[in-house]
Amino acid sequence: MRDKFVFNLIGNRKAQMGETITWIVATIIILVVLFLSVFATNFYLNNRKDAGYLKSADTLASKSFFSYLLTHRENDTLIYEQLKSEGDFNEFNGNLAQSVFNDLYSKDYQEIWLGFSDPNLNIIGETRNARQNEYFGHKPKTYAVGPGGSSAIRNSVSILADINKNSSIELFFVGRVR
Amino acid sequence: MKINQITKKNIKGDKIISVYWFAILFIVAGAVIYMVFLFYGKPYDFRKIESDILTTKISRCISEAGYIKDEIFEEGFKENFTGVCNLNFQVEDVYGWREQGQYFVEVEFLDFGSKQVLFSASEGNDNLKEFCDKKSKNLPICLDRNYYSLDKNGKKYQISILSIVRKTEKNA
Repeated sequence: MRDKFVFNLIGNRKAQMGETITWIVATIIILVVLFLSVFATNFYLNNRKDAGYLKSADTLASKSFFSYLLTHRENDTLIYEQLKSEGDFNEFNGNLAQSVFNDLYSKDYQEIWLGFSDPNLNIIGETRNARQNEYFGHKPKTYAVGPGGSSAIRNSVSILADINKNSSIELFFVGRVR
Repeated sequence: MKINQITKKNIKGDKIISVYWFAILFIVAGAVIYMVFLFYGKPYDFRKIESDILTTKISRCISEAGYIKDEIFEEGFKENFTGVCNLNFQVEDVYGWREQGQYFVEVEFLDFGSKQVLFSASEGNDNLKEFCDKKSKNLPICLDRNYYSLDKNGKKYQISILSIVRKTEKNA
């Protein structure tokens, strides 16, 4: 009887050892999780804590856009009038648009587009309302597709000048860099 | 006798586990406090917004409705740039900010075709300019932006605005 009891106690000691190993593993897991959390916080704060804001307007780009529309060659009509009557870019206003918007804003935005669009079909993320042109190509998409088919709306700025009810000249920027 | 010894060891083991629990509790609490301090102990950096607002305000002062204002071409604009644009560079009197000067702005009017500087105006602490090509969170924030404009005769200009805000002590 006494031998059986001692045998049981030895069995208990084995169980205690198993329990100790469990605790050691648990401790290691706790410490690893803590270390990862501290590391992630540090990593996140390595980038400055910027008081950023989603900007949907750009005063300087608007100014450039309206000055561009008011530009004209000697004895010629304003670019706005040209675009309105011709419905597309010509060599003069197309090249000027490229040198104004691509040269001045390529540092500020990832993608720049100027062209004709239908303001009535202006839906976030959608670009079917816009017409492709020789100087700026297709209107860039405002959403980015990530892994696993996930998508996110990118920051964009749209400046419009109406031509008529169904058409406007649109200056469109996507992906603010700074 | 042996049974008593084993039972005593069990009681000791319980005590050790209690100490262990307290140790883990303190380690977890310490880590949480450290992370909260890391996150909230650092100030938000508002200088980018401030320089953006400064740039916007200057652009509004220079041109209106697509054309550069006439007063920009008048004599005295360069000398009284802050007065014309109604800019106030006063700052709170901490960290010796007032003596040092926390802002610098420079406006350049370039010929759009040749990119040649026709005239310029600046105001503020021009020593801050030398930090613009260096990158560190403890240095002033520089914002260099450009826009296209016309004068009343239709001449094309590229207007370049450089705004610098220091205030590192409260933002970096």
